[in-house]
Amino acid sequence: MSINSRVKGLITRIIRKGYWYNHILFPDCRKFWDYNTFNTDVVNLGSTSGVNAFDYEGLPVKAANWALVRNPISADFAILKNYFGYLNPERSTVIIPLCPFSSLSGGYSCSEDRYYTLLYCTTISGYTYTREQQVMSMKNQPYLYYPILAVFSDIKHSIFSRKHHELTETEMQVDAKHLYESWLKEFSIKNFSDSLSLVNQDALEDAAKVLNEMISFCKERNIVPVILIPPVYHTLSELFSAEVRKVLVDSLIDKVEDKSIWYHNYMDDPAFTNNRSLFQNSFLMNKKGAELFTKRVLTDLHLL
Amino acid sequence: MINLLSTKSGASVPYVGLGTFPFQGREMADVVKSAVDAGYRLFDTSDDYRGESGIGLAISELSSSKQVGREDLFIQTKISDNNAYADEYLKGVYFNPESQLMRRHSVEDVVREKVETSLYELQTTYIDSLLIHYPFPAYLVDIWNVMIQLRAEGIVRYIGVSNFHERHISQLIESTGVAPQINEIYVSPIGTKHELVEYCNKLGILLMTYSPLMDVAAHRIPQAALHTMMKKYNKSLAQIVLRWNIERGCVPLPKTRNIARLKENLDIFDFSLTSEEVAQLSALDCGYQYLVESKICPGL
Repeated sequence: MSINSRVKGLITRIIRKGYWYNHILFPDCRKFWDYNTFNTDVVNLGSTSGVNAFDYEGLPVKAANWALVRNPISADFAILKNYFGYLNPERSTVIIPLCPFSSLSGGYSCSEDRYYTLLYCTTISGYTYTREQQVMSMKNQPYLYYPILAVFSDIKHSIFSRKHHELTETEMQVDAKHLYESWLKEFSIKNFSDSLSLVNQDALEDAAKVLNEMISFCKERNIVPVILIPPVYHTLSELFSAEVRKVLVDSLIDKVEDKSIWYHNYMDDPAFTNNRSLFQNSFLMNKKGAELFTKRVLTDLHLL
Repeated sequence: MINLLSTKSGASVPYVGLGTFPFQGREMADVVKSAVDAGYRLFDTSDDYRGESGIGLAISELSSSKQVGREDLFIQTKISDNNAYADEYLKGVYFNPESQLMRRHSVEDVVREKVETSLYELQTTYIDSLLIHYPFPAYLVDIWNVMIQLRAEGIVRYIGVSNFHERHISQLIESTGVAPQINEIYVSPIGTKHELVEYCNKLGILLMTYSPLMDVAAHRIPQAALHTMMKKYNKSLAQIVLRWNIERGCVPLPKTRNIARLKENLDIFDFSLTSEEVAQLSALDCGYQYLVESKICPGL
């Protein structure tokens, strides 16, 4: 092997271990690239809250966290279609975690670059072979694309990634307010007593359609689908009034056609919502919280 | 007992065929000709293996030398979501509800064009057996309807499927009333797919098995446990596994270009396994599946 190849190989290995590659370019993708466990009994899908709400480490169950950060529900279905071959064909459980604004994310598509490394072409929105070649080149030869300024964040995260700062009650209040207002802006919502905008109405319809299709898909394949909403810290849950919940949560759940599907809303569960040590911020659980919550869900589902 | 397959000339096809992926071009032609010399008549390929032209070359050369005519061979190919001699830019074009091609053209036009390409590459006027490579969601019934027509028109002699599970087959039967004649799947003593095999045998669907010796080559089958059987029949582990396929109603399609192995894989018709021995091999089942089918055909 030439010196040139050795240097490229070394740089590639270093970049692939870094924050830029694993959290900016291809967030959460590695677990799918490496996944090779047949007859898996339990998986959870989901978006950022799902990523942080489940941790199966040490539990006596063959399970995996298949959630991805910033993952729309349509991509959940695409992930399931591509990876269900790993599930136990006799019987398995797929946990579909929703968050309050899942109902309005149905219109998003799974066309981000990272999906080119995870999904078969027929399940990628707007797939083009040219783009696939470009993305796979980024994956396989990241040294050609590495932004030099990313070296600072890579070094920073390699040093500080394990240090967690537990937010104070005041910080949790500020964080919740900030998150809530950001979502309102993201989804262009002024007032929950007004009817949803046309874009949000479409998104809700799309989310319900995907959710119902996902449920049918599971039931045709000996997969038990369950729906839940993970806990959030009380400073955030208190911002979701009954009216808001009706628009964001109940509207989607009401559209689930199969009423026999197991559903539970853990948002305000007292075992979690008042315990600050279980959260990294008002929305996302930390590792301790995820372990406790996962155990609780599996117990509730009689899988432990 | 296995349903008989016959060539167009009326000869019975031996219960072992040759898997031809990934051979191409001259190498493919030479492998096919060596296999014909060894006694093979069934050759399995697909429109996305890039090997059809090599088989076509062999057919042409065999016919010219008057050794074995086209009608003495049994050529099986498949309809895939990719295409022979198509460049990679056709990835994602076929049997994808989002592709422009599938929006602008009927499934019949697409399937007929694919079959025309296969006929051209194989240098033949008919295909002995045409399979749907994977149960492409949303398209399998439409593809199947065209294949039924192609069989009625004499362009194809047998029609079947590949990598289909029970529910896909029952969907075809419920929708068209026509059952596949063949289902090509992966089975192994460590992944017996017992229920699917039973289901197909019950419906008279001939099972063919791809890569039947892969687990032997990869040492995933415990040879020590089968040593007595091998000694009893004076056969190799590969031959025992191929015979196990046949006893279960499956036609194995092992791949090799080694002339000695071509002959060895065909030398399995002078003995048979007892039902206890078949059960002993099947008892190695641990549900092994080497391919993640859902990653190749999402939502299948």
